[in-house]
Amino acid sequence: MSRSNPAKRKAPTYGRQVLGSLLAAVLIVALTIFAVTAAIGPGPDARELRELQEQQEERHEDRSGNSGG
Amino acid sequence: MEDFADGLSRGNLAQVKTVLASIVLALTVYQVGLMAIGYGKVRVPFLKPKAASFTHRAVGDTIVAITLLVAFMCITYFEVEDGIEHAADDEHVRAAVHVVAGSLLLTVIALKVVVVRWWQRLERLLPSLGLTVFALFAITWVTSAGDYLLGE
Repeated sequence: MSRSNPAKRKAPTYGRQVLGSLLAAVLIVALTIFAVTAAIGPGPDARELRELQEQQEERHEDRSGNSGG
Repeated sequence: MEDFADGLSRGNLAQVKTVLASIVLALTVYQVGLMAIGYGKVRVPFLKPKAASFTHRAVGDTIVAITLLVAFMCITYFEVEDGIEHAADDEHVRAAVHVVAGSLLLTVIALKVVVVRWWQRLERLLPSLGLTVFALFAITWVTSAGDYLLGE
Protein backbone atom coordinates (compact mmCIF):
# COMPACT_ATOMS: atom_id res chain seq x y z
CA MET A 1 0.00 0.00 0.00
CA SER A 2 2.88 2.33 0.78
CA ARG A 3 4.49 1.80 -2.65
CA SER A 4 3.30 4.43 -5.09
CA ASN A 5 2.14 3.76 -8.63
CA PRO A 6 4.95 4.36 -11.22
CA ALA A 7 2.59 6.46 -13.35
CA LYS A 8 1.88 8.62 -10.32
CA ARG A 9 5.58 8.96 -9.62
CA LYS A 10 6.18 10.20 -13.20
CA ALA A 11 3.39 12.78 -13.11
CA PRO A 12 5.24 15.47 -11.10
CA THR A 13 8.07 15.62 -13.70
CA TYR A 14 5.57 16.23 -16.48
CA GLY A 15 3.63 18.68 -14.32
CA ARG A 16 6.79 20.59 -13.46
CA GLN A 17 7.66 20.86 -17.16
CA VAL A 18 4.20 22.21 -17.99
CA LEU A 19 4.39 24.65 -15.07
CA GLY A 20 7.85 25.78 -16.11
CA SER A 21 6.84 26.33 -19.73
CA LEU A 22 3.73 28.24 -18.62
CA LEU A 23 5.89 30.40 -16.35
CA ALA A 24 8.14 31.07 -19.35
CA ALA A 25 5.04 32.29 -21.22
CA VAL A 26 4.17 34.61 -18.31
CA LEU A 27 7.75 35.93 -18.35
CA ILE A 28 7.49 36.60 -22.10
CA VAL A 29 4.26 38.55 -21.50
CA ALA A 30 5.85 40.61 -18.70
CA LEU A 31 8.95 41.41 -20.76
CA THR A 32 6.82 42.40 -23.77
CA ILE A 33 4.64 44.72 -21.66
CA PHE A 34 7.80 46.29 -20.19
CA ALA A 35 9.48 46.75 -23.59
CA VAL A 36 6.42 48.07 -25.44
CA THR A 37 5.28 50.49 -22.72
CA ALA A 38 8.87 51.78 -22.51
CA ALA A 39 8.86 52.31 -26.29
CA ILE A 40 5.49 54.08 -26.23
CA GLY A 41 6.58 56.29 -23.35
CA PRO A 42 4.44 58.23 -20.91
CA GLY A 43 1.37 59.99 -22.26
CA PRO A 44 0.42 63.53 -21.30
CA ASP A 45 -0.52 63.90 -17.64
CA ALA A 46 -3.70 65.60 -16.41
CA ARG A 47 -2.08 69.08 -16.31
CA GLU A 48 -0.75 68.77 -19.88
CA LEU A 49 -4.13 67.53 -21.10
CA ARG A 50 -5.85 70.54 -19.47
CA GLU A 51 -3.35 72.92 -21.12
CA LEU A 52 -3.92 71.29 -24.51
CA GLN A 53 -7.67 71.61 -24.06
CA GLU A 54 -7.34 75.28 -23.06
CA GLN A 55 -5.15 75.97 -26.12
CA GLN A 56 -7.73 74.29 -28.35
CA GLU A 57 -10.54 76.34 -26.81
CA GLU A 58 -8.56 79.57 -27.24
CA ARG A 59 -7.87 78.76 -30.89
CA HIS A 60 -11.54 77.95 -31.39
CA GLU A 61 -12.59 81.27 -29.79
CA ASP A 62 -10.05 83.22 -31.90
CA ARG A 63 -11.38 81.61 -35.06
CA SER A 64 -15.01 82.28 -34.21
CA GLY A 65 -14.09 85.89 -33.16
CA ASN A 66 -12.31 86.55 -36.47
CA SER A 67 -15.09 85.12 -38.61
CA GLY A 68 -17.74 87.02 -36.62
CA GLY A 69 -15.98 90.46 -36.68
CA MET B 1 -19.82 50.43 -29.13
CA GLU B 2 -17.12 52.91 -30.17
CA ASP B 3 -17.39 54.60 -26.75
CA PHE B 4 -17.30 51.20 -25.04
CA ALA B 5 -14.01 50.29 -26.77
CA ASP B 6 -12.61 53.72 -25.95
CA GLY B 7 -13.75 53.46 -22.33
CA LEU B 8 -12.29 49.96 -22.03
CA SER B 9 -8.86 51.40 -22.81
CA ARG B 10 -9.55 54.67 -20.87
CA GLY B 11 -8.98 56.72 -24.00
CA ASN B 12 -5.70 54.99 -24.92
CA LEU B 13 -7.04 52.62 -27.54
CA ALA B 14 -4.04 52.68 -29.90
CA GLN B 15 -1.57 52.15 -27.05
CA VAL B 16 -3.56 49.32 -25.44
CA LYS B 17 -4.00 47.62 -28.82
CA THR B 18 -0.26 47.97 -29.47
CA VAL B 19 0.66 46.33 -26.16
CA LEU B 20 -1.86 43.50 -26.57
CA ALA B 21 -0.88 42.83 -30.20
CA SER B 22 2.80 42.77 -29.23
CA ILE B 23 2.09 40.29 -26.41
CA VAL B 24 0.28 38.05 -28.89
CA LEU B 25 3.12 38.24 -31.42
CA ALA B 26 5.72 37.38 -28.75
CA LEU B 27 3.59 34.43 -27.61
CA THR B 28 3.17 33.16 -31.18
CA VAL B 29 6.97 33.01 -31.55
CA TYR B 30 7.01 30.95 -28.33
CA GLN B 31 4.20 28.79 -29.74
CA VAL B 32 6.24 27.95 -32.85
CA GLY B 33 9.12 26.89 -30.59
CA LEU B 34 6.81 24.78 -28.41
CA MET B 35 5.40 22.92 -31.40
CA ALA B 36 8.87 22.35 -32.85
CA ILE B 37 9.49 20.48 -29.57
CA GLY B 38 5.99 18.96 -29.63
CA TYR B 39 6.52 17.45 -33.09
CA GLY B 40 10.02 16.26 -32.14
CA LYS B 41 11.81 18.57 -34.63
CA VAL B 42 13.78 20.06 -31.74
CA ARG B 43 14.83 18.09 -28.69
CA VAL B 44 15.60 19.74 -25.36
CA PRO B 45 16.36 17.86 -22.15
CA PHE B 46 14.12 20.02 -19.94
CA LEU B 47 10.87 19.79 -21.92
CA LYS B 48 9.19 16.64 -23.25
CA PRO B 49 7.06 16.82 -26.43
CA LYS B 50 3.86 16.03 -24.51
CA ALA B 51 4.42 18.86 -22.02
CA ALA B 52 5.25 21.24 -24.88
CA SER B 53 2.03 20.30 -26.70
CA PHE B 54 -0.04 20.80 -23.54
CA THR B 55 1.45 24.26 -22.97
CA HIS B 56 0.96 25.07 -26.67
CA ARG B 57 -2.78 24.39 -26.28
CA ALA B 58 -3.06 26.46 -23.07
CA VAL B 59 -1.11 29.42 -24.46
CA GLY B 60 -3.05 29.10 -27.74
CA ASP B 61 -6.37 29.48 -25.90
CA THR B 62 -5.01 32.64 -24.25
CA ILE B 63 -3.82 34.00 -27.60
CA VAL B 64 -7.28 33.44 -29.14
CA ALA B 65 -8.96 35.32 -26.27
CA ILE B 66 -6.57 38.31 -26.55
CA THR B 67 -6.84 38.32 -30.36
CA LEU B 68 -10.64 38.44 -30.19
CA LEU B 69 -10.44 41.36 -27.74
CA VAL B 70 -8.05 43.29 -30.03
CA ALA B 71 -10.23 42.50 -33.08
CA PHE B 72 -13.31 43.72 -31.18
CA MET B 73 -11.56 46.98 -30.26
CA CYS B 74 -10.29 47.43 -33.80
CA ILE B 75 -13.56 46.73 -35.59
CA THR B 76 -15.83 48.67 -33.22
CA TYR B 77 -13.58 51.74 -33.15
CA PHE B 78 -12.22 51.98 -36.70
CA GLU B 79 -14.69 49.75 -38.60
CA VAL B 80 -13.50 47.88 -41.67
CA GLU B 81 -14.11 50.36 -44.48
CA ASP B 82 -13.57 53.50 -42.36
CA GLY B 83 -10.13 52.24 -41.36
CA ILE B 84 -9.03 52.31 -44.99
CA GLU B 85 -10.99 55.40 -46.09
CA HIS B 86 -9.86 57.57 -43.18
CA ALA B 87 -6.24 56.49 -43.30
CA ALA B 88 -3.68 59.22 -44.06
CA ASP B 89 -2.74 59.72 -47.73
CA ASP B 90 0.31 57.46 -47.66
CA GLU B 91 -1.28 54.92 -45.32
CA HIS B 92 -4.05 53.47 -47.49
CA VAL B 93 -2.01 50.42 -48.58
CA ARG B 94 -0.89 49.69 -45.01
CA ALA B 95 -4.47 49.95 -43.73
CA ALA B 96 -5.78 47.72 -46.55
CA VAL B 97 -3.10 45.06 -45.95
CA HIS B 98 -3.89 45.19 -42.21
CA VAL B 99 -7.62 44.68 -42.81
CA VAL B 100 -7.05 41.77 -45.24
CA ALA B 101 -4.41 40.07 -43.03
CA GLY B 102 -6.53 40.56 -39.89
CA SER B 103 -9.64 39.11 -41.53
CA LEU B 104 -7.69 36.14 -42.93
CA LEU B 105 -6.10 35.63 -39.50
CA LEU B 106 -9.47 35.31 -37.75
CA THR B 107 -10.66 32.89 -40.47
CA VAL B 108 -7.57 30.65 -40.25
CA ILE B 109 -7.65 30.68 -36.42
CA ALA B 110 -11.31 29.59 -36.52
CA LEU B 111 -10.41 26.80 -38.98
CA LYS B 112 -7.50 25.68 -36.78
CA VAL B 113 -9.71 25.53 -33.68
CA VAL B 114 -12.32 23.50 -35.62
CA VAL B 115 -9.64 21.05 -36.85
CA VAL B 116 -8.10 20.67 -33.36
CA ARG B 117 -11.40 20.12 -31.58
CA TRP B 118 -13.84 18.54 -34.03
CA TRP B 119 -12.36 17.84 -37.46
CA GLN B 120 -9.46 15.61 -36.50
CA ARG B 121 -9.38 13.91 -39.92
CA LEU B 122 -7.52 17.02 -41.11
CA GLU B 123 -4.94 16.96 -38.29
CA ARG B 124 -2.13 16.62 -40.85
CA LEU B 125 -2.90 20.22 -41.89
CA LEU B 126 -2.21 21.60 -38.40
CA PRO B 127 1.50 22.44 -38.93
CA SER B 128 0.65 24.39 -42.12
CA LEU B 129 -2.29 26.09 -40.44
CA GLY B 130 -0.11 26.98 -37.45
CA LEU B 131 2.62 28.52 -39.62
CA THR B 132 -0.04 30.41 -41.63
CA VAL B 133 -1.47 31.80 -38.39
CA PHE B 134 2.03 32.85 -37.32
CA ALA B 135 2.71 34.59 -40.66
CA LEU B 136 -0.65 36.39 -40.56
CA PHE B 137 -0.02 37.51 -36.96
CA ALA B 138 3.34 38.92 -38.07
CA ILE B 139 1.81 40.79 -41.05
CA THR B 140 -1.06 42.12 -38.92
CA TRP B 141 1.40 43.34 -36.25
CA VAL B 142 3.82 44.94 -38.74
CA THR B 143 0.97 46.87 -40.39
CA SER B 144 -0.44 48.18 -37.09
CA ALA B 145 1.49 47.95 -33.81
CA GLY B 146 4.86 47.74 -35.57
CA ASP B 147 4.05 50.80 -37.64
CA TYR B 148 2.91 52.64 -34.49
CA LEU B 149 6.08 51.73 -32.55
CA LEU B 150 8.68 52.01 -35.29
CA GLY B 151 7.07 54.51 -37.61
CA GLU B 152 7.23 57.49 -35.23
